[in-house]
Amino acid sequence: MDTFNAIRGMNKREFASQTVSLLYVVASALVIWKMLSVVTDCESPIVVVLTGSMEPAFWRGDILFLYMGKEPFQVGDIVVYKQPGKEIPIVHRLTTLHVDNKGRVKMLTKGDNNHSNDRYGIYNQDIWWLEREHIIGRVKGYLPYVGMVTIIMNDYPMVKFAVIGILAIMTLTSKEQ
Amino acid sequence: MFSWKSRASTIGSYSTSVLGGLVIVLALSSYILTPPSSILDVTLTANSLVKLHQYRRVGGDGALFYFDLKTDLKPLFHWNLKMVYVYLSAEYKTQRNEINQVVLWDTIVEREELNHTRKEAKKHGQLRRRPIYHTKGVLDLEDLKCKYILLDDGFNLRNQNVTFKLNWNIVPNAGLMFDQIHPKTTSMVLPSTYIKARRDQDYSAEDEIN
Repeated sequence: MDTFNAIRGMNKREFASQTVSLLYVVASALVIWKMLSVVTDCESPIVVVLTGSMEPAFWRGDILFLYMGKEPFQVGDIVVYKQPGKEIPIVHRLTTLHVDNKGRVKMLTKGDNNHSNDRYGIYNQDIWWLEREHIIGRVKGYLPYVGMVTIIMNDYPMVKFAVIGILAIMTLTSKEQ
Repeated sequence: MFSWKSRASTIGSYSTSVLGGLVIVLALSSYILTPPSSILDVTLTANSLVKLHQYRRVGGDGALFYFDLKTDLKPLFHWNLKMVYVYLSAEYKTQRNEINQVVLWDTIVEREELNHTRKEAKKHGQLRRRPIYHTKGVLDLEDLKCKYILLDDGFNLRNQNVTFKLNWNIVPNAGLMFDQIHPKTTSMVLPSTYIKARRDQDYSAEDEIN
């Protein structure tokens, strides 16, 4: 009830200034995210692990930090790739790499927890080798568990709306001291 | 001033920043604690080549090797190391391809397995659905059959000089991932003719079809 009273007790000026500060928070989060994208050269530099195909290295709900970098690919690298027509990017390990004289790269990946490589079952029918343009990131950093928050929010959208709502109200009603 | 809200938010933000700081310290400590790859004493020899075939359906030559590999991985482990992915790679150069790298064999050594007895390790492997090759971090493998065939991108494996390397990828509890290559490598020149599987267990239906 406190919060409602707080909103009712606000005058227009106060409300406007709080809205601006809320927008400021949202905008700076967006700016930081986009900056990270530019620095790491990855469209989404932080991804959440959704499946167990890389266990025991990565478990569902772990967070991965991606960085493309200029250094050449190596077998053993963990890459994130996205195939045309498929929504969800896949995080797997490079097991075969061929680079021809013109610099064209052919790759094959495999999940640590899978028995065979991704060619049979995971790649699209028309993909025999994974190529440079399929790769959207290389895994460089790891933080366990934290991504569980996003997974819960995606599985139960109500939780997401509740969290966003509560945060918005708290920002709107917080008094500057 | 002292409402439940401000208390909760203070506790929340304080504990998150302390935790975050600790995680950063943990991640940075990896830099100091990770030894150079030469700390491991590795014996790696290409024991034998048991077949060299044309795999026409996949469009390349294939070779199957046996290895002797001996090393103790324990020196790699420190407090911010969850597991190492150890892999044996083959590297060679062909006319068409400047770089060819293929993983021939790999295994995972988890930190918790280091204290396992042989029996516990086996049980742990069953749980994870993978074979355990080490006892307490020590790999002592004689006449080890490679898990994966060395499959070329084309038919260029005859007379090819192939270099074998032992590499590992370090997965931390939290922080940055590292790749390391052991400086000692071994190499082998493949024969000038194709050879059929020299051991019964290495025949496969695929060889016959091709």
